[in-house]
Amino acid sequence: MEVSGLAGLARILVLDAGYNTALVMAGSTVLGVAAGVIGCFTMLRRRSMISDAISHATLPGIALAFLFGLAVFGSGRNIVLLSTGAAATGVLGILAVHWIRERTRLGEDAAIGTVLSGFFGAGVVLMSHVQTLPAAGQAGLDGFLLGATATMTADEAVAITAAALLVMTVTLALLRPFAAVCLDEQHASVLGLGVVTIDMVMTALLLLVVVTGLKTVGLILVIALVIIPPVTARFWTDRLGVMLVISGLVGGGACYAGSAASAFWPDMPTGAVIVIMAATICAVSVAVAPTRGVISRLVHARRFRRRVIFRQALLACSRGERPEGAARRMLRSAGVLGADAELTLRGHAQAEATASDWRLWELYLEWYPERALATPEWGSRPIGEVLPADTVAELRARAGSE
Amino acid sequence: MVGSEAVPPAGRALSTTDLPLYVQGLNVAYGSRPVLWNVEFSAAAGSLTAVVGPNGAGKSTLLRAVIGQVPRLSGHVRVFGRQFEPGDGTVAYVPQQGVVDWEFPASALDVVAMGLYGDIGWFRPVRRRHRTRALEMLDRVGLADSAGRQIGQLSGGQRQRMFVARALAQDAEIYLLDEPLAGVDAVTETRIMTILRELADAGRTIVVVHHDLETLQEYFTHALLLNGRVVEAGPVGGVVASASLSRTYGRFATAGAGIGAG
Repeated sequence: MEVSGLAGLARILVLDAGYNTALVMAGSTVLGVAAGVIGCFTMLRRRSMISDAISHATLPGIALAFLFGLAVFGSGRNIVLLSTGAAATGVLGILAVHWIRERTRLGEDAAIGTVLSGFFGAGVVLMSHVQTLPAAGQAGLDGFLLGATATMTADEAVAITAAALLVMTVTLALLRPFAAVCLDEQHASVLGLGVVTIDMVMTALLLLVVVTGLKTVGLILVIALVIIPPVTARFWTDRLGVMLVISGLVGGGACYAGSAASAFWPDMPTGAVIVIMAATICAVSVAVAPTRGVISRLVHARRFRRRVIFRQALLACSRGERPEGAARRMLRSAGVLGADAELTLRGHAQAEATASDWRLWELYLEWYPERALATPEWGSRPIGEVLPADTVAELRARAGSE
Repeated sequence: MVGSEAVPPAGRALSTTDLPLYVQGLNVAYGSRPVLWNVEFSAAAGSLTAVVGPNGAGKSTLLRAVIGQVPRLSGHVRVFGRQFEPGDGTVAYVPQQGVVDWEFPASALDVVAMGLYGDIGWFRPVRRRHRTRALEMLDRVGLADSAGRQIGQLSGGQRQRMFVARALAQDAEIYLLDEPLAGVDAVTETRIMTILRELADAGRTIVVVHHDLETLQEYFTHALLLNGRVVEAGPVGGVVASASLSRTYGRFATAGAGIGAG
């Protein structure tokens, strides 16, 4: 079916640009959701980078499976065969990382880097051999590197959708054990959960997503699908459930938009487009998310700093001192100091009130130092706004008896 | 976080005092939790000051704020009347134990020689005289025999002495040490304190985060009682005799324990 112009793009977006395109987009979207969901747990378990080792370790498997298919069946182009090969060397990659981490003093980062590049190097050599074979041309093996949904067949799309749905189902079914292990391994094992087994299931799901995503995003960028959506989601929420939903939406949305773009411009590398979509959403989230976003934090930090300086300036006034510079300007504009640099009537009252409030904070620090020092915003606000009424009452009583 | 230079501390005019270390109107917060509240503190040449206070009182943070490792909300740190500049060699800092990669492929001598990098420069080779000097410093802390050992093989006390030797190699004017006596054996403790006293006697300025109130008077000339804000600071005798210790550590915790009476 011919797709061009705005009308064509609109038809792609509403899945009305032909059966094949619709299937590919649906499959990609479901894959994105699944990657976003399992990605949350890999991130919370601090295992995100292992997916990069897995994806790069799949390359020799893909090439070997292709050669095997060519020799045995006369053709290597079969998504199940290629995925099986990919998964096989992917597992070898995981085992290699695990072995290096457990048996040597190297850290996981060094282990992942070594395995990733070693397997990828082997894969590139095998691939360049495959490229010299006459049958390689139609195989579309390059698509595994950077992703190409435009050349995906309906069968492949169905296989991807099925695998992605399987990952989502298992992840949602195992929500509680996964969360328990990510939060507190020891507690989880006391509860009788097999931590090793759960980790294995989690890694297997990750492997499945990575292998499934090869055709869509490509092995170089598939790691983005399991990292960027959870990172984005974390900026918006402090709750696991909400995080899973947002992460799934970001992953699904990016894959939907990316595969649509790929259908519209068939030469575009799908994986890169998907990653750019996801990264854009992530960048916007980092900037504007409430509470955790950069802008919100800057505003909050600035307000807090001004409050501390203003309070200390008021306390200085109550001791008869006169602050200079920015602190003085702050007092002036708040009407604490008049044009003659003396306390106004209101300023006098405010300084006195702050001084007696500070006396209570001092008593709190003296009687309960460790609790006081761990209290957010201690000293920087009126004590009644921060501490419960009974504690304030107790401190007032102590202040009265001294 | 936010730069602090534009806003002088509340309440005070800038001072141009030439004391080795002068901290004025220092405010530090982690997020919105204040850690140091309007801290004012100075240390004279030849003084050996203990920074004491309960957990979370900001003792380590004070040292790290002095060397610019934590951002300030506001306030000033003056070293000999000037803004502190990292790398000018006037301040040596011994961090708390455990912040070092003990697997790092380096010998005790290598680590001490790193204290000389300021002298040697980043691109000139470490010469024999540098090694000799590093070895002298190791000898001074009683570690000459372990100079060639990989740092992970040193005991806790030896590791701490190695860091003191590295600071000694820097030949700084001001020494800041974060709990150098935590978890070390008696021999190490005596040796480290002897060295610090010698440095102070030679006119250097020493500030130590300390946790043992029993040895406060014996080891130090001055004390800074910290509890988010400065409760009291001055010659150690006066500080210990006052009621300030109990106001620092909590009046419940110290009631009847005799700390305030010291």
